[in-house]
Amino acid sequence: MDSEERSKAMEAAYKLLETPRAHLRVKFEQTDEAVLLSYRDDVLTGVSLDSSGINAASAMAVALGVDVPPSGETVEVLASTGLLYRVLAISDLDFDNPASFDLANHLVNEAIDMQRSARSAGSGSRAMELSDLESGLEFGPYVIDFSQPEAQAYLDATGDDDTADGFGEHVHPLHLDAFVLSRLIEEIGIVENRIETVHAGQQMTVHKQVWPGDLIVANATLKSCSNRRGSIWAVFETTFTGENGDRVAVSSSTIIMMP
Amino acid sequence: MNSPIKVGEELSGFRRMVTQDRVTAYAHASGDHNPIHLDEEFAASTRFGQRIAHGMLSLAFVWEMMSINYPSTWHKGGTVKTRFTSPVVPGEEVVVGGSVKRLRTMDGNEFVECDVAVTRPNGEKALTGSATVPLE
Repeated sequence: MDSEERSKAMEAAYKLLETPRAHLRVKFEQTDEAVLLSYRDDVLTGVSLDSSGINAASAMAVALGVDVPPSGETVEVLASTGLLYRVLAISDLDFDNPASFDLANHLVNEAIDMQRSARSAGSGSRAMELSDLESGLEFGPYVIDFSQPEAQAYLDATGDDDTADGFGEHVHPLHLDAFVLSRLIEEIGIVENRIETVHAGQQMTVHKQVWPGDLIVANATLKSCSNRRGSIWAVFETTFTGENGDRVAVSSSTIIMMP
Repeated sequence: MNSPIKVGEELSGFRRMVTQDRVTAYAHASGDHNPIHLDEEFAASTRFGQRIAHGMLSLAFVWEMMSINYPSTWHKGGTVKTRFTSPVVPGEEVVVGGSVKRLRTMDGNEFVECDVAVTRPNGEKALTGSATVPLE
């Protein structure tokens, strides 16, 4: 990167980091000349393929939790602004100076901790029994990123072929909710343990349209959980948030489980 | 010019066939593979005695109806509040309908509140509830 490109990248990076965000989809790519980190159309930083740059790229990759992509290839990574801050700092280090390795090591460890805490708050496999359910339990975040064919498949399944409602171009809001419900019933073990369930009620309010490719994060909370005559009544509330932190939709689902 | 909305007027609804193929396609598209929708043997052991369609599928029909009736505002503040009162069984053609229940103002904004329902061939309501849509 020449000085003008570096200055432009730094400006884009500062602008991006101004607003703390939990999930940004960044691109990590290797060109013929450099390893670049980009967000949408903006390069945020880059390191050249000399010995210092290769060390920096390797440390950036560890911090991001991926491998350095082969030449000509790109990997997409979800990262918080806090994690990106550390990756950008690593990219600025001069690895010809031995002291940089200590600094890089410190930054990489911080980044790994951030990845770990994000994963533990995330939607990893969770061994859960129905007896574990209690009000206030949080689920997610679930990252939703529907492609156009996926959005269309949902529409086709419902039989909605009327273009008047605009679906097919944008994502059906119930598709978001259905996705979260499917994750919830898996995490609770309904599918694996073949627990009889009834979906008793559903509420949803939509604030914004979602388009294929938009990155949406859903966070669900078990709002109430009660045992009635041997059945468990659970009410989950879910908030759907866009990449800019804007609320896209909220929903509430009442599920009755009969173990 | 749009005609004024009147309380009691019927929404433009439709009929929709719910086949097992549709239920299976819905399961794949939504990711909801609850065996009560897909596994004949398991479903036979439940209180329903057979496979049933996803409640969310019926809700999608209501959503479609509201989108058609209020295309410019439904996606910007529309709200549904529904109960699934009876399961739709694959092979049934359901009727999706609704009517304007009342007009109301909240925080200076006007809304239409509609009663909505999905009705099975035997007349039972599979879904009942309300849908509220901003007028602007």
